[in-house]
Amino acid sequence: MNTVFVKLKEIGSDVDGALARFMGDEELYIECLESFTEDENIPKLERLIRTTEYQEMFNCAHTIKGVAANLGLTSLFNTTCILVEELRNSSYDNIETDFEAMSNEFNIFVSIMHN
Amino acid sequence: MDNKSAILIVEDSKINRIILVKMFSEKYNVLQAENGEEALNIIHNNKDISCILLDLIMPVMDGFEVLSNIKNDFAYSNIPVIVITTDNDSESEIKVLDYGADDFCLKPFKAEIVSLKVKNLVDKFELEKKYASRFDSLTGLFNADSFYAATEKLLNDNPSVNYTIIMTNIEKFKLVNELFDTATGDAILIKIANIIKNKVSKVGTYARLESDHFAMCIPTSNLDIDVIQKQAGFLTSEMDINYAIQLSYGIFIIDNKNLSITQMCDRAKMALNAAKGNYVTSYAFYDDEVRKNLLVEQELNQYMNQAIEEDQFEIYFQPVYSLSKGKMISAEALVRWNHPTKGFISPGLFIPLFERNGFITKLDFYVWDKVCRQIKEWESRFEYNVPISINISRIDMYNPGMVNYIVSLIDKYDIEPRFLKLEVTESAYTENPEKLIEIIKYLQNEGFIVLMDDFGSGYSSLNMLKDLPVDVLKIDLKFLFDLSNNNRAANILTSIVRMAKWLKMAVIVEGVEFENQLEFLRSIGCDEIQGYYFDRPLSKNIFESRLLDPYAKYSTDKRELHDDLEFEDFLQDKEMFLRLINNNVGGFGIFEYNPQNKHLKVVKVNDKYYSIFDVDPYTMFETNSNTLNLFSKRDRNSIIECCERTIKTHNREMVIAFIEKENGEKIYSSISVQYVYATYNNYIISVTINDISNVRNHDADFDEDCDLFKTLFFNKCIVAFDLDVLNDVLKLFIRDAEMNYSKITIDTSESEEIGNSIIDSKNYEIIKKIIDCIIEENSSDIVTKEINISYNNRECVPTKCSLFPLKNDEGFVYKVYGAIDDI
Repeated sequence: MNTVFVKLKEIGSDVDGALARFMGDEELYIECLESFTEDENIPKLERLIRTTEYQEMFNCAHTIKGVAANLGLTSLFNTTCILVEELRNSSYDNIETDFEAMSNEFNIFVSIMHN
Repeated sequence: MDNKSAILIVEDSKINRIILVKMFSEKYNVLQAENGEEALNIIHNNKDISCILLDLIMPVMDGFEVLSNIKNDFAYSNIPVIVITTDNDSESEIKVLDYGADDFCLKPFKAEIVSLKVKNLVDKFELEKKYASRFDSLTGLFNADSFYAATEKLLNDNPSVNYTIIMTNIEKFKLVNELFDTATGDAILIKIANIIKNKVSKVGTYARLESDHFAMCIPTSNLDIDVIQKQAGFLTSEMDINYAIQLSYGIFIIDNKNLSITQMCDRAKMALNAAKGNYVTSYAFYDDEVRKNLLVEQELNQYMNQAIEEDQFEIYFQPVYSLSKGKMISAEALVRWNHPTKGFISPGLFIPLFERNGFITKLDFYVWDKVCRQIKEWESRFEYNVPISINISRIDMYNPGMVNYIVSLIDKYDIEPRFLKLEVTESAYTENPEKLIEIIKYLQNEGFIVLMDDFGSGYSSLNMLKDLPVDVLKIDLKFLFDLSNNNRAANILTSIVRMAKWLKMAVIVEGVEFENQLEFLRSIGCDEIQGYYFDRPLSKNIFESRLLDPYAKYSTDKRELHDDLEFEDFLQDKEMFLRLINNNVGGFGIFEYNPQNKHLKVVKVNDKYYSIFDVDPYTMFETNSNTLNLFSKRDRNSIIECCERTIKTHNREMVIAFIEKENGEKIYSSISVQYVYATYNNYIISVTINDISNVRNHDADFDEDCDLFKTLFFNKCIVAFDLDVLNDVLKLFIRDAEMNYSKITIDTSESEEIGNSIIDSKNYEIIKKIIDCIIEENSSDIVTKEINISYNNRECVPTKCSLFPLKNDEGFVYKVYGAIDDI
């Protein structure tokens, strides 16, 4: 499974940090990563992004942000952060674009996991 | 259940949860919740969560709500909460801490940091819990459970050392909390705790069991009673409160190591109970006496109901005697327990027990019924009947049916209320004054006479006398101990008796055993006496013999007691005093005569008195002034003798003396004295002084005629005469209506007319004959004859003529004195 870690590192993920969080349990880490690929918050956010339910959007994004951070998925984390702040500050102009960016990073992550 | 501490993770994201569970599952028992609601559920159903990791952003109930729920619930508010969040701005920080979170952690977790934070909080929380379960939070001493454990260990570790358990508590601590406040009360407890800790911690165990109860276990060799006694004194002075904290101690020296610690503490507690309420010694040892009493009490408890059914309670009667009447006038009913196998059980033992366990009311109701039945029976059998008094316990006061029951007994047995006297105790007043007053008034209204038993033995104040409308005060002499050595006690008793009379209350003195007590009581005006000097409590049969013959069998003087009430009224009511006294002829006063130094001290006088003596009130009442100084020196002794005579005879005695004024003028006066009553160290006498100088002016020679005057005044006679046999001279002193005396001198050899004008001729002849007889026979016997005389232009009145012959040194009758008294 080292390849997953290598690939994740390639896109800038903090694999070591995450592993430390998992007390060095690589198997568990991989499990969680896989589990995250099916995280429903992303599709949920996708559905919401065109609505005006900003609070819901915020909650979703916020959750994703947390998990991404814990899993060491830095690039996903960063893009999510932007969205989260925008939603927090009620500046909704660029949310669709920023969601795109975030979604992109997520897809990259998923493809790494599925290979 | 393993002994890992439990922590709760509240996080909606599964992955985050997984991470945290992974982080902590080795060290702790990890509970999980997905949202706030679930979290609260788990908290409420689990006793021992030592830490909560709480995510803020969650569906259903967000972190803030959960946080606020936990921190506002007393049961859980001390569980530490670490909030986990991704927001790392200070605004969030403030909000989180404001809600009461103990700390917060950022996502992504830094494993080490989160881990350490949790560890610290869990450790601290658990230590606090352990402390709370081992120690008393207020004082820091061991609590009961840890004391028992620690003491057991102490005893086991030192098998050769002898230990003592001491229980201590503060007398009436509730009162302290009320007098001051709970903060002061707590401060006192802490102070005591510190003293105990300082003294005991190196040698033994100690604890605060509950409220104001402390326990200690120390080696017996360290037991120092003096130190124990002194402790309370230090307390008060150090704390600067104006109240003497009284500690009581129960001491059990461990003689049986097989007892459990709790059993040992129980024994110390029994000893403590024995010590409580005893202000003389504040400690008591558990010994066989204590245990015996306890066992006895338990036994009595078992037997009491049966005792009533089997009529084991008997009524004894102790008579009350009247000194003035010399006979029994009432009796007190007392209960005796005559157990078939145990014999007589002392009331001192069972009465307090029954008061404690409430059985007293059942017993009292039974006794009262028996007494009423007895009264009725005696009514039909005996001619002479006396009222019987029954005792109402202070516990009975709390029984709402008590008063009605007593009234119903009167009806049931058809007896007059005045035959059932009711004795109440002072302690009933101190406990519930209003209730007692209400009850007494009601009963008096129904016709009962109410007595205050054991007056003076309790803590009641003068207010009680003011408020309580009792009819009779019963004073127990024993509280005065030995009267003959105790001046102060005697004075107190005298004052109480006097005060009772002013308040129109009768007084019965009980506990009289010796004659000197009796004499003293009589002298201060006590009339009703109860005590072993007359009779101990008597069984029904022996008491019946008293009903047959109620006269006192002991030496009682049947002389009437002087009713000194009137004089007391005089002393109290100045107006009345002056009104009555100023109408008297002459100077009148109340004096104190001191037999030791033979001083006569004025207490109160009327106006005429001042004018006779020509002194002002100030001089008169100068503290040490001795009235005798106002009389001529030569007369002082005879006045003293006169005072002492009246004290002995209780009759009016008279003397003639010269009053000597400051300017040397002498006033010829007749002084009449009358014994009034005795106080403990002096006598009260009344003195009437009449200026009889006008009589004196009738050329009477004092020395020669003074005997005649004395005769006149002594015997209140109408005529006094002095026949000089040798010289044939008859001197007559005749009293007129205005109390003046006129003197007539007659030469008997010459005329009979003057005699006739006083005494009719027939009687005059009789007298003359008698006198001649006396002279002839040279007899010195006193002769009396009834004759009729007219004098002062009155009709003939019957009188008694007395003749007193006097012989001179040669043995011849040379003088005959005569006195004629109005009869």
